[in-house]
Amino acid sequence: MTMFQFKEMLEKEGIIFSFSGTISQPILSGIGETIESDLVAMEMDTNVTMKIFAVFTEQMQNIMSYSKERRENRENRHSSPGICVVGLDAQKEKYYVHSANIMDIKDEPIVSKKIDHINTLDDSGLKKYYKELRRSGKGVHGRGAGLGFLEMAKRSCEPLEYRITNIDDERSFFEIKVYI
Amino acid sequence: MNNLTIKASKYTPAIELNAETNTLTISGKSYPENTFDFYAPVITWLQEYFSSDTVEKTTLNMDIIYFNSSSSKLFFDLFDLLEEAQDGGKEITVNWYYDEENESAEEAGEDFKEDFEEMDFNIIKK
Repeated sequence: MTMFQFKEMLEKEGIIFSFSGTISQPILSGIGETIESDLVAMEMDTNVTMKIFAVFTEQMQNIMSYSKERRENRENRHSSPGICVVGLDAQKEKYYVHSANIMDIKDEPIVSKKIDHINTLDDSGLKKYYKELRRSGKGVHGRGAGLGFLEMAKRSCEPLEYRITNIDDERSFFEIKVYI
Repeated sequence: MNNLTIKASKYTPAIELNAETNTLTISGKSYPENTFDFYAPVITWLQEYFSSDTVEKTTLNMDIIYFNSSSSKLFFDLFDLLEEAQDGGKEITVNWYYDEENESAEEAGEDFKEDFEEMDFNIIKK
């Protein structure tokens, strides 16, 4: 593929930003700021910008915390390969944040169950569940509170779209797309 | 006791816990990957601070532009710690500041206020 073809594909998909490579906290914050300033330059509404930034952050930190390919560089500091794009869906006229990583096949049922449940909730249900989980701390682990997908859903105008594609006996490819 | 000062980074807020003025300030963005590790010194400092008999009226000023979901949990636990101190007889005020254009910061403040009804929790437009 030529870069021209790549550029054409990006344009066709309405992609404003794309990244594929190793994600870590410094990269996340650098990219996050870049996207933020791009959106500000496009004179986008502050609240939409904040929502995109929030969904992007949750997706990147999920990849860093849960990807099967994650590495611990220093104590509790991770990096992991991942892919992320931010784009504008021309038909829906909505922005989206779409990302992917390799997941452990054992995590499939846990993740599916979690997202499927979240997708059954309306706005007030989401708020209630979020507050319950935050209070109880049931989802808490060393790096998070188990609130990431809920946080994305709160900022999204549609159900969370996800897809899991099996690779082999141990690995699957997980992707999630969130419309703002 | 010593004051605790932590400078802001790109993804962590500026923190100033002052035992002389009884003022606690957290301002900026909060989205570290290791939220609980990052805030551990803050929690430890507060536990020690509230264990002292001399502490009376304390004000927490929160001016957070953006925070991630793990910070949301951490802030909940922080307010919980303050509420416990209040139950133990301390006088506490929380001021949650937000920018007019930042709806999510305002909503987040309202959500916390609902969870801590017994506290003097003020939502303040900057």
